Amino acid sequence: MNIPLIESWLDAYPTQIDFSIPDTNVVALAFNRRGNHLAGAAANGAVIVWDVDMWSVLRLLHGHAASVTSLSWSRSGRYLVSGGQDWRCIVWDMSTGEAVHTFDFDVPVTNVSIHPFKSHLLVASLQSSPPVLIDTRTRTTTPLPAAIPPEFRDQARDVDVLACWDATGHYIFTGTSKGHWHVLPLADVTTPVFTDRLAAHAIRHFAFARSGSHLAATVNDKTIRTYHLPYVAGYLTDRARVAAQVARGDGGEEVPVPPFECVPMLKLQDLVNRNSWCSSAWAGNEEFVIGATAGRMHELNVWNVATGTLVKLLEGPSEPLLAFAWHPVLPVCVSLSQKGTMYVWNTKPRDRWSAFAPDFKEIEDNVEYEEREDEFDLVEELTLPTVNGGAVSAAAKVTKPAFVDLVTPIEGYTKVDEDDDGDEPWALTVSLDHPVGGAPHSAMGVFAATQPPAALVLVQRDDPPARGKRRRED
Amino acid sequence: MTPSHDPMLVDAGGANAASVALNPLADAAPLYKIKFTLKGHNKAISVVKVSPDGQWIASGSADKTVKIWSAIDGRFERTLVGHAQGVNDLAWSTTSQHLATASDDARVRLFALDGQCLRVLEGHTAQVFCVAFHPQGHLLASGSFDETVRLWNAQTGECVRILPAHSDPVSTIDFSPDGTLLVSASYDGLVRVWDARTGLCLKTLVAAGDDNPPVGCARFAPNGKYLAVASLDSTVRLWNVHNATIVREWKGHKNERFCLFLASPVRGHSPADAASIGVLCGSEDHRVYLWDVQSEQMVAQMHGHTDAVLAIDYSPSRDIIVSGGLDHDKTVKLWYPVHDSPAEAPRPPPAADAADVAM
Repeated sequence: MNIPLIESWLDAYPTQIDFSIPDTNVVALAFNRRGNHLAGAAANGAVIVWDVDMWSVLRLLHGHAASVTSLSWSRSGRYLVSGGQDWRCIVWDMSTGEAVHTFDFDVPVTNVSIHPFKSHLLVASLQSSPPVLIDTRTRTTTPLPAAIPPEFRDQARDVDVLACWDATGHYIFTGTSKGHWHVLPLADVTTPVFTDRLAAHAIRHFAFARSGSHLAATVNDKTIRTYHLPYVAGYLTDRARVAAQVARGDGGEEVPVPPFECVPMLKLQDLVNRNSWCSSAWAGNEEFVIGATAGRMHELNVWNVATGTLVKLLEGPSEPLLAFAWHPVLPVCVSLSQKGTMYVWNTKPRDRWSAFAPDFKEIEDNVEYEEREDEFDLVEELTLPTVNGGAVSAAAKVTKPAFVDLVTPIEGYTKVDEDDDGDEPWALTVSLDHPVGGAPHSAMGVFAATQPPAALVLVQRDDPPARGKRRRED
Repeated sequence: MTPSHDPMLVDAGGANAASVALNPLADAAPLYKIKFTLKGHNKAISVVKVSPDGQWIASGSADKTVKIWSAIDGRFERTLVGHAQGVNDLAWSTTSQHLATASDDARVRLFALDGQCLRVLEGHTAQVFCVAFHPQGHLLASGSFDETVRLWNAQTGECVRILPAHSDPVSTIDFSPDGTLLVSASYDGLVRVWDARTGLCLKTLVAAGDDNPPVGCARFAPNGKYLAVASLDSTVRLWNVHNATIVREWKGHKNERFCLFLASPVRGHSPADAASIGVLCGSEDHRVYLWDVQSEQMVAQMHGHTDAVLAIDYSPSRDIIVSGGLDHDKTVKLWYPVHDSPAEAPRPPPAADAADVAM
């Protein structure tokens, strides 16, 4: 809602560390799609959900016995999937704080990803095993065959290390330890529609832009490769159009599966320091890519995608960087250091003085004002002079459009993101009876324990939110 | 006060052209009639709010208390005490379990529905006039006669931000339905829109050129793009926030002294409901006014209170209007649609407190 008002003068990328939360021991992060919740995977097996505005802890989810390695939010923000080193993959329901599904495997889970529209479909990457496609409704797990093209078939130990959904939900992207990128269609997971060898090194991370049309692949050969996926935009607009038709009651047709295509764009690297990257992310407006360095440096490199140039180098503290996440819309990002501290990067808020009165304008340089000869004369006039250096402001314009739409949500920050399962955009309402955590500086005691101490008060189960389906029935 | 009192103002005899123009509904059938009158407050009622789940009505009054009534049958539930001076405004949290109240004693109190006072938020240096809950329930915003707006962390009770909002008492405050924007307006005639996360001022809306009438109430539309602003020149305006233009104006009521509340009867969020949105407002001429948004026509005038009506609200789950009157009136009235089914005759509820009775 505030994006149209604020975006013209909001910096696209953060510029400084705002504050840090020590001793969180979090190893992986994920923002939900709306950006109001941040989930962190702790090394002791807990999953922590913060509220992004106040940085208060909303949920502490216990279910893993060992470190959690990866998190993924459903589209509506109601479900969170976590995969851990205890060979387990758990689906949590945020409204109750309970685990609704648990899947056990034979090996540690390295990555999890929820389908962008159907929150009952998951893809989990396993260590040294092919990734699996999980359907939580039927409770089936289907291994995705690692389809290696014949010319590379005799390469040993080329295992899939990463699997995730694309933005349309019709393709699964897998990356291997030898740099292969396979695209498997959901309709037929045995045959890849696209294969590419990005490098001779493992693919570390896939980052999608918010619109889904761009992909940044972080590869262990110290590059970040960006791709444009032209099929996504058309598919999503068709899908939204059909959804609007269905909402009006006109009935909708099936949107056909778009054929995959990708256009390689940039190869970003740090030529000076030869840094390797641990992950990357796209800015909310998709003009910038941030790369987070692996190794001993704690730096965030910001590239302008249009020109491929490095525009900013953000230096953090001298602790090695472990993981990194960028807010889906706002210029806020969070980086984790190996010491266990979480750093929140933000822009410097600047007051915009032109917002304080309707006729204030910001100007670049000082303007010399020449007074008129009779400027300060005392004149008795029946009609007062009008604008004189902005002393009297003009009346606001009155327009009377025929129809004023007060109800339809506007595009942007709170675009209505309904997924196929019918979950509407959802936000966790805070329970006021039992405060959990608190201001960032007082968070130390909460995270130091390895198991939930008896004194720690967990957030009470909230009543189901008042918004959503319930209200419509009235 | 009989429930069957005709709420319509019928301008009988002696009507001249001017007063007929002012009463365009003289021939129309009444839309709402009083079904319950809730007595119990000892002084003027400043605010009534229906809980988001439609179960409870909270009424705040100059007698320093807030009373909770059932929204189903008007039965008195309990009294929340604690403030040292009169209550100016109150806000329900989205879970309908908590209430925030603003009072002349410069404190904001957070009550639970069972009557317990959970937190007292201290910090304002003058009377707190308005309070609003963030839809997610973690933030509270309050505006005060000390010309500032304060943002509080509802869980811990600490003040997280002070906005130097205006140069006159802040009369109204509201969060947009998604919680990203905050609007505040004051006696200096300015309506300011703030970013709730950072506290930066995004826009200032000024209605007239020279003489800015004080603003009594500002409310966001359900999609956050429009703002309904009631000002003390007897006008309610609808602003488009993005390009700062006025798109609708509603007149006909009297509002020159007090800060009235606005309510918007909107049920549901589908495009089909958008056509039936109205604007509800009390008035200093003892009536409740209802306008249609799109056509700017006055749809109903409801007569029943014996003093100015400042407090007004609309139930989110049923077609009920709730209004509260000032000093000479001291009652909360529930207005039901005229075509309500007669089968549900109200049974007199057992009076928990001798003074609190619903007729």
